[in-house]
Amino acid sequence: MGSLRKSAALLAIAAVLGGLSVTFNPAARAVLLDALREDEITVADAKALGAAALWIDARSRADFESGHVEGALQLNEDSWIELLIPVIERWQPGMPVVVYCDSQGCQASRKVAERLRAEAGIDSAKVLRGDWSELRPR
Amino acid sequence: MLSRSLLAVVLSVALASACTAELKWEATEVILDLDSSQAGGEAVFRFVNEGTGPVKIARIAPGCGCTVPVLDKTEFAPGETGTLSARFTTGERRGAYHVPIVVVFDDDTTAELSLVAQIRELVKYFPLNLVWTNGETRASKNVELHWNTTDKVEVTSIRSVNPAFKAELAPDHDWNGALVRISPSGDDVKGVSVVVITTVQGPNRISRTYTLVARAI
Repeated sequence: MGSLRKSAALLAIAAVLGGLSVTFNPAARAVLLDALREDEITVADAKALGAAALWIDARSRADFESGHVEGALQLNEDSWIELLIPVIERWQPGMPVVVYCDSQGCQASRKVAERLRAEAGIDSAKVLRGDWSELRPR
Repeated sequence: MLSRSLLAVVLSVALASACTAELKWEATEVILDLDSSQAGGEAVFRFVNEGTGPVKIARIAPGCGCTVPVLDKTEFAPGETGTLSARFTTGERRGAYHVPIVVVFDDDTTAELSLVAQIRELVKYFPLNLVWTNGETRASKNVELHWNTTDKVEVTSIRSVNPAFKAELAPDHDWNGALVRISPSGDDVKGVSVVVITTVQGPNRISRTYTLVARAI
């Protein structure tokens, strides 16, 4: 009976700490509470697309130059016009598009994907759910 | 034994909260209402050190390259007030931005601030992209630009990246704005072009560029 009470109390403490983490840590909250949105794609599904997809790197120029998904094009809002042109020239109707940036909390990929859909008619633009580094070969 | 463990957990959480609470912020979120004729804006976060010891800010990490934090000094004595400014650059951005700004103190505790920039566009245009479907006659198509302001807006240039699509200003419109006509150069044209429309807006003649995509399949 004593050990049962102890276990229950420990479980309660774990629940409280988990709750605090979800409340105060935005990343934990996003992972635990956000379901996959319609405009998102998981790392596994994105990997399965491979070279059939057009990969868009929404990070800064410096980050892009330090490493990116093979074949990816860079597109961010620091130089939207200049970078958009090669994307439009490469994309063909029906081609899936995966936009990525650093992490779950990174907004750049979402903004770029929204603009590709709204301003360039690329309805297939999806946001990678997670960090692009998960796509690196191990 | 168990109650001692519980007490330790509660004390740890309470102490962690107390460490990050020494700087009291007047507001942790600042909203910047901008329009596209503004090159940017500045959000000011005011604070006071309500602790009993000095507070030292080690670094500030904005969540976007669009925002540059500015701090006059990094150490604040008890009772001292200060401001952290965050300069947001509009650039080629559109719509609303939520920029987290993480303040890291020298004891590795953090405070999270939030800058929300809302950019009202002074030029509305539609459609945003044009498509000529397979077999469709390659007749000219129009894009309407409407000025969403009483301030002066001027189209300074129109450029089609692909010469197979001609882009020009057309005179025949009766609204406060402009009309852009896109014409494929022939009935056999297939391909895509980005049309770049450059404007100057507002009293400071800030340059603002818009793109539309013309695609013939």
